[in-house]
Amino acid sequence: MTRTGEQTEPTEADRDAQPAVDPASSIESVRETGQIAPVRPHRSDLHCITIIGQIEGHLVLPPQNKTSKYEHIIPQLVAIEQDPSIRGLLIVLNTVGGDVDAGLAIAELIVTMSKPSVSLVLGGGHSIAIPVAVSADYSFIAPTATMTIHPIRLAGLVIGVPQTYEYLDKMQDRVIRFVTQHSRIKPEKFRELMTRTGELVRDVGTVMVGAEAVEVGLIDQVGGLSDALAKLYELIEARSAADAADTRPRR
Amino acid sequence: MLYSIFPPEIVFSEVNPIEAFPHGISQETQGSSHRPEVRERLEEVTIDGVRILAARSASGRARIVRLLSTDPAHYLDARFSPGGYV
Repeated sequence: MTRTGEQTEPTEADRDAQPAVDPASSIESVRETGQIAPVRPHRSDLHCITIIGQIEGHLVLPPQNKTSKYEHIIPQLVAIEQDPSIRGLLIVLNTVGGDVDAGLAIAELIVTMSKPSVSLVLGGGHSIAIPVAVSADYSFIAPTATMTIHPIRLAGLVIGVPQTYEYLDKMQDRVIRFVTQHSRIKPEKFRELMTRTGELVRDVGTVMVGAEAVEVGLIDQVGGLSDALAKLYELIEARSAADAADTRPRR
Repeated sequence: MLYSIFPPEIVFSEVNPIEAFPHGISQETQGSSHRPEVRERLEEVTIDGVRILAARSASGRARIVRLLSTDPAHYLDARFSPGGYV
């Protein structure tokens, strides 16, 4: 709470004079009388999931990592799908990547939601964030945001046998298949960007800034918050019009 | 399996990330191996149905670090301002 200490205890008259919507007075009412704060005046029909830092999956990452946890996001997606008062989902991404299984799990859930979703890549949407970004019905990228496509790699003990390469390729194919199914990019193009040399420092791959991600077909449009919300409302309207026309019972 | 632009030696280092990756961290975080915000024990609490990530201080008070809600309205609620106490 950010209230200053020099404020004196309000008298009964002071408190009555304050408007009912003043948040400070509602806090005061809880403190003074134990009453529950007034009902929130605003309830959004859109919910927003912000995915930041590393996408955390099977391993709890050490505390210097800022993470978005699988176990938070998955139930949130289920709750958003189930709550009839929520009409759409905005996904804001600023993430360096993370766990392959967790990222793909989140992406698969978003893709199979019945409610309209729009994603917005801000800052960075790298590695496993790419499937998450393309999983929404429509995707935006900020003009300055970056997306890095690079090969998946193994950490720890790697056995130098051909099977290791085949396994890596199989894991990579999961990502490539998902991304190419849910965006306009072709598998050959994605693979080419993934293994391109001379673009990244100390790594193989490609970094794309804003409009470049739209040019290769990964993201639908360059834009910002108002564009994303306008698109989301457009999708919601289209969905409710389709629902109204369709008289069959919903599954 | 990690698919991230951060190298595993940074992600999994239990020590100060500066030691593991001396050239990749911005200047202002250097020399802060005992950053209190990193070493704090975080716990999740639910207040009025809102999930909050809070840091428990030595005095037992819980300081709001991050909201885990997806409802944008919760972020406008003064009770849940990050940095505030619950």
